[in-house]
Amino acid sequence: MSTYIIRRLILIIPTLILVTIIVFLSVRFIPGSVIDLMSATMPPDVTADAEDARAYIKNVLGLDVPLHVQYARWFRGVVTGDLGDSLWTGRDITREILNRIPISLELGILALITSMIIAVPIGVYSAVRQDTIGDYIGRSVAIFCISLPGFWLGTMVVVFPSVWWGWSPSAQYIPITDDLGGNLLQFIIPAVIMGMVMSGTTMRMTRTMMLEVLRQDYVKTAWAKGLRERSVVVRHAMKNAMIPVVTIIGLQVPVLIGGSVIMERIFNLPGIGRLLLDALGQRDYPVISGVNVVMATAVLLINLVVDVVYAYLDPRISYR
Amino acid sequence: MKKHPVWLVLSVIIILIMALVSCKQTTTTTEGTGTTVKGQIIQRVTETPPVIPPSVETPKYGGTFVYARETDIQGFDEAFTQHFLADTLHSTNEELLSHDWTRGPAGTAEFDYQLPGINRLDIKAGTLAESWEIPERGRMIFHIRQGVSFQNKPPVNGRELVADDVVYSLNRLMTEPRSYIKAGYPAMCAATTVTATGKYKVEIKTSEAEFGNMTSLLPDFANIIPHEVIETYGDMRDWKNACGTGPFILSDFVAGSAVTLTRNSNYWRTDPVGPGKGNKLPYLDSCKMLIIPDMSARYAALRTAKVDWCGVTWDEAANLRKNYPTLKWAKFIHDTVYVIYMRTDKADSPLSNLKVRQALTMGVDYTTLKDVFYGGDAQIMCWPVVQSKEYAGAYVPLEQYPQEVQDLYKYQPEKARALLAEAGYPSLKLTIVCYNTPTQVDVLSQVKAFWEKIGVDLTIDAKDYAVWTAAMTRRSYDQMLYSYTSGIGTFWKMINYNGTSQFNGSYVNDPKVLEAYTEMQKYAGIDEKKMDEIHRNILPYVLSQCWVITRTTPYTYYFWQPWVKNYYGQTANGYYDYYTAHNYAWIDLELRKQMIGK
Amino acid sequence: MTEGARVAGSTEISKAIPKHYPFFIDLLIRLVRQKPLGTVGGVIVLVLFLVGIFAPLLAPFGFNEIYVGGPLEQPSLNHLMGTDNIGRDLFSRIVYGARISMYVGLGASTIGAFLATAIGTISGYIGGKTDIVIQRLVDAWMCFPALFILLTVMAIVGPGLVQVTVVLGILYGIGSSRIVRSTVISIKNNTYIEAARAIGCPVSKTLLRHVLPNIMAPIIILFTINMGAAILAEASISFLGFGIPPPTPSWGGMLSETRFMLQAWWLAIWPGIALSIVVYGINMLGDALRDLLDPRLRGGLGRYGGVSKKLIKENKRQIARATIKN
Repeated sequence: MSTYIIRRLILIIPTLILVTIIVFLSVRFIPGSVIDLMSATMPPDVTADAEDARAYIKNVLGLDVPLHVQYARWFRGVVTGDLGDSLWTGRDITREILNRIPISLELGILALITSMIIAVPIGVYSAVRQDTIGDYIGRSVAIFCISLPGFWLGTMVVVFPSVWWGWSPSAQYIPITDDLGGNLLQFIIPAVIMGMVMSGTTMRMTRTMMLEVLRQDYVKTAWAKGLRERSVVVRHAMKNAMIPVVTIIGLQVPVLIGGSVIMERIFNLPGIGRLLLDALGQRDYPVISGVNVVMATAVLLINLVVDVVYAYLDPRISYR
Repeated sequence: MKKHPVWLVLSVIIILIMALVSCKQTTTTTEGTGTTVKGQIIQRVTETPPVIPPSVETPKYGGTFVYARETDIQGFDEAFTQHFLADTLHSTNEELLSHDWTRGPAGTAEFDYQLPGINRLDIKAGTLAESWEIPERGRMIFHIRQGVSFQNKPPVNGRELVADDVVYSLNRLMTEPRSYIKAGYPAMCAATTVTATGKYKVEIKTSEAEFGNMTSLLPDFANIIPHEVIETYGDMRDWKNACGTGPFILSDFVAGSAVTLTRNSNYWRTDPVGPGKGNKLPYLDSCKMLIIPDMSARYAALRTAKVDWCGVTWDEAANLRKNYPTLKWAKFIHDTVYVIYMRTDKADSPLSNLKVRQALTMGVDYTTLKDVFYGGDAQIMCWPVVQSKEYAGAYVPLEQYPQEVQDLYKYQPEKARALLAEAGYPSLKLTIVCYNTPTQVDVLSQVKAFWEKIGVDLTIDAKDYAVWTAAMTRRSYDQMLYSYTSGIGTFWKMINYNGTSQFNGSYVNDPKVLEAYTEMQKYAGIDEKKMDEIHRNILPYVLSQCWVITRTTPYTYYFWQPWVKNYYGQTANGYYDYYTAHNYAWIDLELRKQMIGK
Repeated sequence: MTEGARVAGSTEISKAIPKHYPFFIDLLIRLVRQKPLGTVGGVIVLVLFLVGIFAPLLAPFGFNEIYVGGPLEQPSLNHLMGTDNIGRDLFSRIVYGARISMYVGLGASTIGAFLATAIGTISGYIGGKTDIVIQRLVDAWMCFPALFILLTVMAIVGPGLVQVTVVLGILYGIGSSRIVRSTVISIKNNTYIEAARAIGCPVSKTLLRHVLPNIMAPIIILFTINMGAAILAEASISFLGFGIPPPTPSWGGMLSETRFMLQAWWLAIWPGIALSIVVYGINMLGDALRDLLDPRLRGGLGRYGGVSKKLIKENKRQIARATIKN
């Protein structure tokens, strides 16, 4: 077991280094440099002054050294946990990200819970009652949920109730430490929308796994023994079908983090997604690189955890 | 399983896509032109802006004023973040001069302070300076107000403001490399010296050539800060270290979410006019700025009274006025106006030909744009300056121009077509670079439809924000660019049609303009009225040259809740001092309790 | 048994052996017979394709024809879905939007399918060092949340229809390559592959004639899944402003203009409904196809030890018919 973990950890390192290179380079290829954006708000009256202004900005931002030197500097910082300062606000990026992660995390976890609540029962029911009316309705509802564009629902929820019922979602982020009830209320709507959208994949997976398990010999034996349906489904089939569901959670993590960008924008939550969106618009290179690196690392580590848990639950896997 | 059907299906799909690719090209051109409007036109509510009379009620203390804003606060130190982006500075710190509140809507109503970029010494009053003199062109003396203390927080601990503080702050902003003043105006900084000639007297000396720039930047732009903060912390970039003489103290900041300011009980100013004259300011207990980037979320917050003030676009304003009549509002034409710039410098380009430009101007139906697209809630004449009370002297309304100029702004497609043929361009292909938001593309789509009728085929090249901004700052577009102009405060530099800045996007280099410019500079900083006159005189010529194509500019609205009193729709109380409405305003808590129960 | 009866019996038996149709026709027949919901989905997708292909014929106006009606007109006979703020007919824009969605959906999933097949097959079949290197690259790619990659890459290449399609195609291609790879690996060890290798069949031929036809099932499933995902992804990034720029009528882009939605509910409803129905149809179709094609799901169903009620009835009927005839 431990050799498996160590082997996986070692394999992560080259991937991580590759990730930092990809992130660093790709960001520099984005056209429209931050220098132009910054000088847009400065009025250089004479061309000479314009070039001076640009040179100043370049020097202060550390952009006047060759690319590999910039990468080395940045990489050194990443390894020690210092992601640098934002080009626009000068604020420490690591601190910004750490401040914003709990918000995206809370949104993601609530969305995940919602999607599980919707997906697993429907998936199991669909599998057990395959090709009956119940299956059709269940599947239709689930697929309908994932077909609705999340941003459309979100916009509807923000725009129309304010006119019909004089209600709008909270305009300011309520930290969980201040007011638990208010915080949950603020998060529940975007979480439900996100959860609905994500539940489709989980539902399908659950259904497929259940269907596969229900064809196994030991299930047929259980039927043959004359056990009640609930016994067969819950005690024999579900437990084994749920193991891959752990993998599903791992697969959903990148979707979670990415999907929150839109919800954070519409519902005005200061999370990681918003940070990236704003940074992209402003060409804030260190922030873009920093956020991408943090997210990629998180995904890699979570995948590792998921794999380990999977291996623990299914002993056939650990000695590959 | 046979393989052949597999390939068959795959190849069918590929052929389909190829067909679609070729189909795609034809769908990008407009089919037909529907510029004669069919169907009913929705009449929107349009009338002249209401005159908000000065408040007659006695102000009461207490309450929190909540703003809704779109962008995050970028920074807190003017040496690192520009004045227009560090909005909390205008509440926590002050400048030597600012707008005269007694001549504003609360007092004599000569001015309404709705434009952010108002920069005329003849409307200013002393803030940290009690009075000033200009003995000769190149020298300015400020008499610092006595008895002003800084906010009572360490390491400053509420000590008194003295001339040395002014000298320190101004010099810092003229030497720090990332300071806007230093980076944008290095010549001015090099030529200027600031010295304290007494405990409460500051003298600024600069060259005659840079005097105009100096009077723009140092009296009502540079914020005064205490040197202890810089000495202790190195800079004021952390919000916790913000300190100044202003009416509010920065008490909380959550990046991307909200800013909270609380009353400075040490504040020196008293209400100068109105029923509350003599009262200690500020009235409010605190002020909050909520950062809500999504527009519909902002409007929803305004409608449900979660915020007290919000800037609103003209279309939503019509809706709010109809359905929420209790909300108070004010409207004005903002001084950064969008226009179509053209490369007039390329000798072989049709755009360098005056007849072509005039034809393009006559080919745009401004009245349809104004009445149909903007529901009548717009103005046509907005370039190079907008209409306002403060700059009434520099603006000329359309009816007062000579007939030839007025004719240019009448919709005459036949004449335009003839003019183009005369110039040798019976048909013309042009490309315009813009930012890919629907707001910009919608306007350009209409211009495109108008120009099709005169034989001009316009291609709209929509770019993303940074690429468009780069094209603007470097003036690096090929034919036409849709972009914005400079604020009105720089009208004396004729910056929108002279010089090499990004705002002279049309590469105008005209000797007549240069002549007027040279004349104007003689009065910069000393005689605003003379500058107004020079500007008025050159305007007919400028417009006849059609260096840009204006669009009709829609009004900008501010909406606020009825319990906010002593606020009249101003944008700023000083040159680009955004978000200063709360400095004199008060909240009628009883009225609010009556209306929404809390 | 008489002579005649034996002949009749054998005809019955020959009638009982099902005809073998080519793969896709067989799939279609099974789809219509066994999966009514999937058929509905298929019909919706077909309608999308037809509307997209014949858009200029179906749309009464051009998609950028301004002021064909007054601004923000209610839905009427003239303008079935109303008009937007510069008088463009919304119905026409939705119809052309179908073309855009079809283009993006088909384009991205085709590119994705090709890419996934190429990467998965090479990586899975050749194995060894190549496999490890390719898998590390794929791993690195999969670390990033899809939206992050999309946004960053779209910022690099700029907004546009072709850019969106290609980027989405590459995204799904690399993402789906894992599944193709695992299928190839499971096939690799079959005897017929060994036999092909033994008789000296070159690798390319083995791949084309033996491996490829057997991995068609997951590729088809991935194709349909990715089509729905691509359409939704394009709508999302157009909503954020990074995707297809106006005035091209992308459904997601049409939903980002929230300014006029309160006054004109039709601007908010129709593009959203169009998106939902199309993605719904694609997903239903994909689900049904997966049920039909996934080899693990063959041979018996849920309850009753593996046979559904319907099939039991069918069986009973067939047996009854055969015995009665006799």
